[in-house]
This record gives sequence, C-alpha cells and structure tokens, in this order.
Amino acid sequence: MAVYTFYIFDRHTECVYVKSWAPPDQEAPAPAISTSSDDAKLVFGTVFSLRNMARKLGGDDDAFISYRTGQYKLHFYETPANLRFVMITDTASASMRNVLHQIYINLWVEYGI
Amino acid sequence: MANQLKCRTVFSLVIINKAGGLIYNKSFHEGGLNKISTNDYLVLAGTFHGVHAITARLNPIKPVAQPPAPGSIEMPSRPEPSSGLEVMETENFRLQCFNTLTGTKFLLFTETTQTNVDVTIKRIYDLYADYVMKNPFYSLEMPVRCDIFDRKLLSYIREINNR
Repeated sequence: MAVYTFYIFDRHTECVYVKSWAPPDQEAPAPAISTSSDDAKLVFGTVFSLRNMARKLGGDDDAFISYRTGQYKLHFYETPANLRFVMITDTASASMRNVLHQIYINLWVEYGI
Repeated sequence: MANQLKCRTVFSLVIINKAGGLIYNKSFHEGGLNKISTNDYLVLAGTFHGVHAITARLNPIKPVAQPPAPGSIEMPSRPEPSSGLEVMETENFRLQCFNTLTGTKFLLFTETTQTNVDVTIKRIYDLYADYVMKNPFYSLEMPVRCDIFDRKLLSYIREINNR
C-alpha cells in the first residue's frame, strides 16, 4: 500500500496544501505538459463533479467516498464547512475515509487553523 | 429476507457513446436512486465522459514502455494507456464503468455491497453486441431503441435482483 499524493482544498476551491510522494520519472523529463498546480486543478474539478453527481443521484445526504482506476485510487472526504481532503493511493488500499477524517480532526484542527 | 434482497440490487444502466452522448438509460429499481430528468441524464453523461478522460490523465505513475528484447528487431512497444475511472463509491450507491475498446461506456449503478458487477456488466455488453450491434436498423452512435435488447436486459437484471 502506497500513498502517492495528498491535497487539501479550502471552501473557495483553492488548493491550500499539496504533498507528493510519487516516484519521479525515470527517463529524461519530457517537455512538461502540466505542472503540479494544473494537476491540483484537475483533481479538484474531478472530485467536484463526482460529488455533485453523487448528490444528484443519491440524494442530498449522499457523499462521494472514492473512485478507482486500473492504476490508482482516489479517496475523498469533505467537512461540513466544505474543506476537502483528497488522497491518491495505489489500488490495493482499503477505504481511507477515516484516515482523512483523522487528519482533519487531529492535524488540521490542531495545527492547521 | 427483504433486507437481504435490498442489498443486492442493480439500480440502473446508462450507456454513453464515444462522443459522450447518452444513448441508453434504464432504471430497474424504484427508490434506489433519485429520479432525475432525461435532460439531467444527458448532462450527467457528458460530465462523466469528461471526468473519465481527466481521471485517466491524473495517473500518478507514468506508464513506461516495455523495452524490446535485446537483439530483436521489434519496435519498442507503446506503454499501456492508463485506464480511466472504473469504480466509484458513495455512501448510497456504487457505480461501475466498463469502457469498451471503441470507447463506448457502460455505467451500472448498484447497491454499495453488490458483488460480481464486472461479470454483470460484461454480460450486458454481450447482450448489447448481440441485440443492438447486430440489429440492421440500428445506426451507430445513436440512441438505442431495440425492443429485444430491452426484453433480454430486463429479464437478466430481474434475475439478479431477485436472487
């Protein structure tokens, strides 16, 4: 089980924290198509759309939890104040929702505010 | 018993063509998902199509091409393209996406605890291949209106939902 990247977005959709543990590219870097800030925007757009989709279909109390592709898994946790925690891990990891919740209550609330 | 039945339910099926247009949409279970208008389903299909492309692009591990065996004259093979979203989970439902080689997407909405959804979705793809693609009156990429596909699909899903 490996964690690749971690993002926090505030309620103004701004990415306020990003940390990456992804292995760097082995080959000589190709001309960069995107920077990490572009990636953060893509991540936000994705979770925002999926969250709205979940709410529309599952009712207003529904919450988007995670999605998985063949290569990675993305976990999502949103606080009542619309602070959004996103973690990208490998596909084998179990639900990280409580981990994100713990990061919120123990780290963000204690040291982030 | 009722509870057991409740947690083994296929809610609905959506088929999206390779351009992101909604071509089929069928609900099998009342009360599973919110009722939304056809227009909203069209928006949903388009949104999902875009999100699917982004999720393939967000892959944190860059795919690397397998180098050809030394001494062989083969061209270096292309890296396996990253797949987009396959399974999405929320508190109230689970969405499985099957992307065919031609880019048609099958979305199956089920109960969160549903198992073997990949088998179900492959079987639905079989039905699609048999009763939609082999229908001489069906025009490609257009909405699916095939009676026999509807019938076969309904009886297959009913079998799963009553299991």
